Amino acid sequence: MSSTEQGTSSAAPAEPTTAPESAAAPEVPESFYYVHGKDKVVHKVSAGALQHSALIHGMISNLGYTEEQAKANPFPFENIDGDILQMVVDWCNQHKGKPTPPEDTNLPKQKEKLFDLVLAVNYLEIKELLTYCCKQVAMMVKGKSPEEIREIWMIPTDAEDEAAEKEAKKRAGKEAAGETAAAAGDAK
Amino acid sequence: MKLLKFPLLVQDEILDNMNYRNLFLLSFVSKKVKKLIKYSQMKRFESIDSIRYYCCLPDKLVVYVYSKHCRENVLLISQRQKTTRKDCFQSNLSGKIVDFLFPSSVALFDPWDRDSVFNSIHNNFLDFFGDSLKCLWPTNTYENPVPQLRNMKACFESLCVNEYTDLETLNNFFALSPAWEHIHALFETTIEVGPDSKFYQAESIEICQKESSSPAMLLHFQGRQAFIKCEECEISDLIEFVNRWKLGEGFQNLEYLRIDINSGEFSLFLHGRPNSEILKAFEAKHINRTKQPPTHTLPRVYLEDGSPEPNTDPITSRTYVVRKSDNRVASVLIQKKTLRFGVWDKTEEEFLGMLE
Repeated sequence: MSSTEQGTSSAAPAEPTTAPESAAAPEVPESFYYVHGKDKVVHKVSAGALQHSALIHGMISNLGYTEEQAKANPFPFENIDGDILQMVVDWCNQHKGKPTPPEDTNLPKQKEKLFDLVLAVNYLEIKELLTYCCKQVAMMVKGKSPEEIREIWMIPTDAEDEAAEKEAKKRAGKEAAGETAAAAGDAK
Repeated sequence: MKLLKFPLLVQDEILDNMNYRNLFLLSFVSKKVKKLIKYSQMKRFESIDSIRYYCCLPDKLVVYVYSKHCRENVLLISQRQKTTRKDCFQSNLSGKIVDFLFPSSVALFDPWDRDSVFNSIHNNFLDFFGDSLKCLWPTNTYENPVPQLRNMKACFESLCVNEYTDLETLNNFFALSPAWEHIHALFETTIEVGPDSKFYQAESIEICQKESSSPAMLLHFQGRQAFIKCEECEISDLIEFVNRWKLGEGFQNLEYLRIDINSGEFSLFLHGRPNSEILKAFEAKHINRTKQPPTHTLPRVYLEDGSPEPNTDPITSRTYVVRKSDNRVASVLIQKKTLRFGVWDKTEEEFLGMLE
């Protein structure tokens, strides 16, 4: 089963969601590609918008797909949640062919959404959006005390780190002992 | 949101977007995070010019990070008062427990424990920002010596020596303080600091001498850059200075000297007779008129806040002298009431090779 079939059968929209067109229509017909995330909802995105992503740009630059082939083979990003991919697609469309502003205030305010967005943007190699996101993450701890920073960024204490390290060593020791015993059994 | 779960590249980008103060605060969260910051921000920390401790009040000290593009306040060190909040964040700095108040970034000390707290905080700065970091302690009084801390150099931004100055206290102050990066002094009297004082060992010195007939600096200076303004100066002292430099009898570290003479023999001499007579006494050498001499200029050792000129005055002169011991060249320029002396880190052959 192709990913397109999966996408159209399991996801709500029958047709791929179409990104809003930019105000200045291109003179030559623009090529479109299709992407989907974990939720299999397929998004139609122009090649111009996808240029923001070094990963996708690299993937499509040598494909030479026809519209039909592109439609039949959406790029699957199973590690990205659907709503996060939607945010990324929206951003790419909004900034298609435009110089990126020094700041972006439309990023999610919720910690977990921002965390997922950062991971997705890093994976898709969208440099400008990554910079905005990281700025926003850095701003979250501005003027906070070390204890507050620990809470916001969920940083373990030294004692927790030491305990985790001890545990990891113990586990590694046990595994090594198990392997030695197994090897000795095999030898017999 | 777990910072440590982000890929390294993302962690770098986040840390790149934090100022020094917030990075310093973050370093208190855990040893692992401190290590991460030091590794991730190594290049940025290497670009720090200096850390400066400003003693704004007797019981308060502000620590700034100075880099090429910014000056940032990272910590206030303050004596604990009766009214000070009790909910301190305690951190173990190399075995010493120091109390901090966050988010205002205040480190607290008790009067009996001041030096020990300073030492721990200072060592923590070096550990965090880099062991070879230049640390400066600018001061404007000579009541208390500048503490002797690792990498620490003192700066006196406005020393005024006049008839009321207690010379013994001043000499003790210089003796007990660490090495001097820069001294900016006004001498309103003929009193001079003892010739063996660390005063003359300052890397850079800027003095205005109102009374003496010739500045003692021309005899005793051991640093790199000297900017001297004086009312009077004996011609013989200027000639002796250049000749002693040529013979390698002093001024081994000198890179730049400028002396502005307001009045007296030098100016009369200049107006009455040609400069060439002084240059003759130096046994100065001359560059052919068909060649363009190179221009000597150096970054100033110390820039006071708001100082507009980061470099020494350019010296473009056809006249130069050569030090016998190592064949090093110094350009000499005499204009109106000013003598400029710029030492090149080049032999005479290398220097002449630069002529266009």
